[in-house]
Amino acid sequence: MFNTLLLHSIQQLQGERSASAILHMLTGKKSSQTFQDVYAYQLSTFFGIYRTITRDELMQELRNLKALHYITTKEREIRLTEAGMEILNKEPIEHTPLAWLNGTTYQHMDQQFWGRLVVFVQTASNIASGQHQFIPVDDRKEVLNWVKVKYRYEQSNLREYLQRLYSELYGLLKGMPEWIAEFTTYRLSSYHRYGMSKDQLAMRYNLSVHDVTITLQAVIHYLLQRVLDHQSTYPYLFQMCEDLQVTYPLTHSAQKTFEWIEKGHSLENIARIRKLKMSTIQDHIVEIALVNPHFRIDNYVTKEAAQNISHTANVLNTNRLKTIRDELSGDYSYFEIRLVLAASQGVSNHESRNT
Amino acid sequence: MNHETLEKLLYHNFGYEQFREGQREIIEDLLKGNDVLGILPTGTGKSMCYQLPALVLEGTVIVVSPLISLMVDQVKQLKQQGMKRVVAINSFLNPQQKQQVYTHIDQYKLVYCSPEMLQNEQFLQVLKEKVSVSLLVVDEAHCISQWGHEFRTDYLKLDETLKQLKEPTVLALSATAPVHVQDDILKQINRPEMRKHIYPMDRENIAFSVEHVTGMEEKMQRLADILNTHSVPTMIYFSSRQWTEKAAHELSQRVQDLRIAYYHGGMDQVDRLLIQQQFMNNQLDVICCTSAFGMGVNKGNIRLVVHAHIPSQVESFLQEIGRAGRDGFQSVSLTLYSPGDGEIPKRFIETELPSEEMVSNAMRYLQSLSSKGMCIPERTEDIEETLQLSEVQWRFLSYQFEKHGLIKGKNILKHQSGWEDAYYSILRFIHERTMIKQNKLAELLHWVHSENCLRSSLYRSFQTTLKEPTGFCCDRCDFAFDLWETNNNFNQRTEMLNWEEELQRIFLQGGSE
Repeated sequence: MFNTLLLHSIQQLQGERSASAILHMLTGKKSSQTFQDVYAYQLSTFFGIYRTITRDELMQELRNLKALHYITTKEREIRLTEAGMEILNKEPIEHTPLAWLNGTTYQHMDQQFWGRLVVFVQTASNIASGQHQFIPVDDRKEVLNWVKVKYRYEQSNLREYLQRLYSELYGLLKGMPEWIAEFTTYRLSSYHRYGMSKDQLAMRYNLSVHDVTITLQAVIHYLLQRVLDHQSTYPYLFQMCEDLQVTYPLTHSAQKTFEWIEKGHSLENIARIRKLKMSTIQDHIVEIALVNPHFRIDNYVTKEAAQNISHTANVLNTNRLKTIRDELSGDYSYFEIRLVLAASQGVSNHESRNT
Repeated sequence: MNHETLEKLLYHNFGYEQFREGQREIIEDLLKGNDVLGILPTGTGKSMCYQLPALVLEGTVIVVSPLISLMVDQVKQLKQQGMKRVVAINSFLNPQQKQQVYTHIDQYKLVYCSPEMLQNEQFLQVLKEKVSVSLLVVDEAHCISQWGHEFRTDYLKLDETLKQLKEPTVLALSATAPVHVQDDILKQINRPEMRKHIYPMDRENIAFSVEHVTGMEEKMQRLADILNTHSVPTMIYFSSRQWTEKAAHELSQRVQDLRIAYYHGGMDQVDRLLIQQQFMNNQLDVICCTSAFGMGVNKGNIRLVVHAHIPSQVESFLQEIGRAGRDGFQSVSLTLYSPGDGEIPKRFIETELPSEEMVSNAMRYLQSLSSKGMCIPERTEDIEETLQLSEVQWRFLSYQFEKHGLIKGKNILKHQSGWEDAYYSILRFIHERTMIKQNKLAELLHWVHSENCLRSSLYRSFQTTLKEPTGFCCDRCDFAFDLWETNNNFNQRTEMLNWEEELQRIFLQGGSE
């Protein structure tokens, strides 16, 4: 499955980006370049879905794909081979759990939500069966604190709480392929056993450890998507992620810039006030344009410029900034080009689109 | 406080009916205000020696511990037992969490921290202002001697810290400290009058066996044979992460009935926790592990500890086999040795400290920085990258440079002279430390090839007398695997149900409880 994900990403990147771009996408690097890339190449659902993978691990996987003749590399350029494309056609990602992934929307909250769910279930299952000694399987302080407060609150109705949570989770798992429902269940810890490690799951289901990580992540995103879209159907699971939602998934610094813009400040002003480089502020603007559907780029690019840039990008069918800029004989700045691309790739509206 | 009250406290707070060897004597001495050096074998409840006093003494007990994982495990265990007023301060806490702990520091009875943390100005200030430290515990005190001289140099500053904390009572604890290390501990923390409570470390219920084989393949075959006839909870130590994985997979195929997994420091936090707890919870039978596994592992029924690769010194070996048979029943330590096995730890020793070339490179680097009027870079990772040094090597060097007056903090002191003298002095010191370690390795290798009683030659440098073994002694005397009868029915399996039933079981639904 991880291979499929890599092949798909390589296909989408059209040889225009290197392995680093894939790494930054998987680890969810908080840079405007990465943000813009994942939208430009329609990979935003994979943003930040494997935050613990290392460069070495990724390179190893790419070497394997090369040895299988699924990809070729020329210097930093990576492309699919015929064989690679065939694999991808045989198992398009729409038919795998990869389709459940939605990185840009959930990556900031997925591990918190899952940690809470797992530790709460473990706690409730143990205590309700009279067992007060157990080691929480996730020892992040913020997770434990949340469970502590929640447990205190639900203590008196533990049985009922377990029953409600059970039926919500059962319904959701039932909607998945059988093996994934089982996989997810075996990962959970309870009063009678500790859950299976990734390596144990990998052996049982004949997967690689990377596959296990990605599958688990896909399951979590599936749960989040259902729960957040149907809050009233899943009130108990909703409680576990309600407070983790954010309006727009922006980096902290971009969020600050956005607040200044809302107050009506110019970019130069903001750069001065925040003691940041102009280019950093411009990165923020691009980031905002990608995720905020109400953000208008008209203040920063003329209508004519926007039309020319979009048109050129479409004709040349590329996201390479330099190619576009050269084609337009350097009339527009990189910032303008990036912003226009961002607006058309992301979710924001631009007047030029309606005209 | 009389005997009865102590026993009551023990029972009410920890659920034990009586003290184990040495605990009461040490606790009584501490409560009288005497400094104590306690050498107790592993698995005899060393931590009780300060956990119970923490309940009795006014003020705070500080526990200096060398490893974060060890601290975290201990705190977890204490919390599990119901002791809530305990905290570990380490680099995993973010500034906010740290601040929160500092604000409420007086509410904790037990505070775990690293020796480095005690050198942190802010932390020391908080301690001085907000609490009175009644007892300072140095856990794994042999680290003062083992590491203090090289890279955990903050261990050598404990005497100064004690002064600042108004000279609290001190308890130094270790499981493995030969006489010269004991002397070094007293000297370094500057408490020459410490009461020594030294208990023999030989474990009378562990039998020793060393088998010489031709190589790894034969080791795997031997392991499979033994596990097939002796299905007991087992730990198998390897020198590398790759080997733990490989061995776990291979043994799983060759030994049908046992549940086998691996554990090493490269696994992610959650999986490490899951595997460790599965083993404790008897969901796993055999763990193939590196030395990263074991600190704080408190499982009573480990019957067999195998060294498929030897460690680099007898102290580590004793610590690792000490995890066997904590319940008192017959257990076995098996070492599988093949020609050339000594090379792995030997290489490790040789590369642990910087080479001649690294020292001169580092000095030239500092001189060139200084000639440009620059300081040492803030991020140590950058320095390590530039100079191609490991973390340990750079820490060692920067301490040495500081000791020789070449640097102070991030500043390079420009003495034209001094550099060359320092260079040779540092090289001499590296040579000396390496020799000490080579000798320790030689001692273990000597034991592996010993033709006489393994038990008596193993403990020779630690103690003069030996307890009578409760069962087998060693394979030179009376032990052979054929003679060892084990109860192979220990593993009541938790069978995995189909997912729907399993989910019901987790959530205590339906009639399946």
